[in-house]
Amino acid sequence: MALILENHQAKKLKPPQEKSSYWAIVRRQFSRSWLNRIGLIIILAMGFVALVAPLLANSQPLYVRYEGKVYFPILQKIWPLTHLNLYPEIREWNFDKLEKKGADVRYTLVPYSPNDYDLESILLPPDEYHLLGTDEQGRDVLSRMIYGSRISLSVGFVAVGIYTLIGIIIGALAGFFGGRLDMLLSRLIEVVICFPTFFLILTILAIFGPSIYNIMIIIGLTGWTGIARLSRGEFLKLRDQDFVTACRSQGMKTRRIIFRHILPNALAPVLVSATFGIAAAILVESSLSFLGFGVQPPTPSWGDLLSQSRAFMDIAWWLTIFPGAAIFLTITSFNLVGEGLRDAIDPKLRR
Amino acid sequence: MLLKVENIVKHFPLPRGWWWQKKSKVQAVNDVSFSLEGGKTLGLVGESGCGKTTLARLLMRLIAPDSGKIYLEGEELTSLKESKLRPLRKKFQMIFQDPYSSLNPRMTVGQILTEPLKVHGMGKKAGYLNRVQEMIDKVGLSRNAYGRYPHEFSGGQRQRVGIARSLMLYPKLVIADEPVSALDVSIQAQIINLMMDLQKDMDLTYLFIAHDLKVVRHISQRILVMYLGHIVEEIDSEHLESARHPYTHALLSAVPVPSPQVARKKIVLTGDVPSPINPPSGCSFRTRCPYAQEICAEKDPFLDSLHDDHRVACLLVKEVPPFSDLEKNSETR
Ligand SMILES: Nc1ncnc2c1ncn2[C@@H]1O[C@H](COP(=O)(O)OP(=O)(O)O)[C@@H](O)[C@H]1O
Ligand SMILES: [Mg+2]
Repeated sequence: MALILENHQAKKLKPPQEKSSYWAIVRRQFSRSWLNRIGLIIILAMGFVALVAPLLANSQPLYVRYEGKVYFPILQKIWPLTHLNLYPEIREWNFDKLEKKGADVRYTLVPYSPNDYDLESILLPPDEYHLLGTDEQGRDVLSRMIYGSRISLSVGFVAVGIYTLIGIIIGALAGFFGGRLDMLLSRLIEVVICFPTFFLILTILAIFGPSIYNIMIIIGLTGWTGIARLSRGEFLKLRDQDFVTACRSQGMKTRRIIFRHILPNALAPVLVSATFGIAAAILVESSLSFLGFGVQPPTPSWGDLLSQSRAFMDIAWWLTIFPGAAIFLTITSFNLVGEGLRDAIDPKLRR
Repeated sequence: MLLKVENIVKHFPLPRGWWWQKKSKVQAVNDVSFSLEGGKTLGLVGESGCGKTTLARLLMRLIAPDSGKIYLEGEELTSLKESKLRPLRKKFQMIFQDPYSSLNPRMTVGQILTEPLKVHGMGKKAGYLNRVQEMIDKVGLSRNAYGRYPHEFSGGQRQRVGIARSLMLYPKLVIADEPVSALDVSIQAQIINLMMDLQKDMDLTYLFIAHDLKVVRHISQRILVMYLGHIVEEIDSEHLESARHPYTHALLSAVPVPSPQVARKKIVLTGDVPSPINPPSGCSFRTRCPYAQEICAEKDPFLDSLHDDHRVACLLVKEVPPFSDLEKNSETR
């Protein structure tokens, strides 16, 4: 009888249709605040733009119908199709003339490639053709910014991906095994924390030449200390919990205990830290590009666009404002999402 | 004998404060020996901090003893390497005190209960669901518990999950470390009754640990009383009234008597439990013992048979009356 009562209580506690896994609860908690949702939407939108950049901004038409045949010239510009030489005949075509001959030619949203210069339309303010204006070589600013997002986001995600992985592994080893290994790894963490990352990057770029791959790798190899400390703490705390002891008394192998039982419990705070880390990495990349150590021209990156705009600050405000706003918006969004995640995983705030 | 424990010792070294200080250690378990017959329940009582959990962890081979031997069905466990021990682990399982930290919060009850089957590769994968559902039924959880997470359950229900997990591999020996101490009094009886039913059903042998003699007495056939890492008395629970150790007397006098006519005189122990880092010389109980004499500081008592099934570790055992005599005296007074 009492048993039935207990079950009854459990049902009352939580309606069964509501998902109650940890991440489902975190998601609910996270989406309570509209700021969190906006941050996440902006990030997802940026990610989408970066992913499909060649389909959004391209001087090749999306679609051409000419003499009863249909072509998608844009495909020639999309990696890995660039290698295929899909339409050998198209290369010589002039789509403007073709259109006058009666062809149906449709362009993407932004019909300019990032490096198409047009010396007849330099430093144009935003209008209905160049939505965000043009730069001193007549290149479309919006197109360049769309491609720039790829640089910023990939530096952010790849660098942080590398160091999150390193950090988790080092932290897990130190926290789980403790003892001498912990002491050794903790000293290593302390040493690496002391590295002045930004100047280390400058030095290495000076030696090996500027490239975003070097930036990713160096941030990845030096940035893991925070994550390592965090996951060390989590592992230290979790390894002595009874559910881990239960695993050991079942005769479970250490690898399974670490990956299946401890890691999922240690992941949440690491994820929060990684989100902030992406914002920081994007900022570092922008700063380096601004100083000229990032991607090399003509490849556009936000920091680089900002840097180029300095010479025309007083005559072409659009060159400064838009890339600056993009950097600002992205960093802010990642930080918002980080804050939101942190609150969502905090059991103290949970009802 | 299913389980035989011989002279097991565990001292935890403490980190040294300063280099000139002596290294000290916590004497958590000191020279403990006992044996346990299959199908029976052995109770282990003692105040918190006396080394019960440490003893349980030693028996589970979660920590290594400093010395001593553990025999399970005649097989010596302390000398086995983890890889050799692993297949044997399904024979002895543990129920934990804290129903909150003992369940992985990221796993559903179904996943928690399937883990032991996977780890030991028990039977066909297709059969796992049935075996888990069967166990969920056995411990009295509702069927839909399978897909639910621990935080959706009350303490008592979580403890049922913990019990189910310990039984998934059909163990012979179950070590229950204060399985009801964290629960509401109203739920304690349910869990204990469940454990007794399961014992009959699955032919289990229990080492049942508690800090409360009342709880232990109900479920156990024999009782071990522990004080500061030592077993001070071993006695049949039916004959508990003839207990001879002054510490057992104190524990017994704290158990409320069913009939209100008998006003039990409570034996209040003076002083605090000494620290297991610096236990008293001789008998470790002497600092709080009403009978203590000089000899108690000088000689170490050892667990000696008083009768067949009654062992006491007290130097003055001849002078200390059985508990039932104490009761009579207090009634006549
Ligand atoms: N890993 C450990 N390191 C150092 N001391 C410990 C450790 N585990 C337990 N102890 C000490 O051993 C003694 C017995 O603890 P425990 O076995 O948990 O007692 P009980 O379960 O009876 O409350 C306590 O003084 C405790 O502080
Ligand atoms: Mg304990």
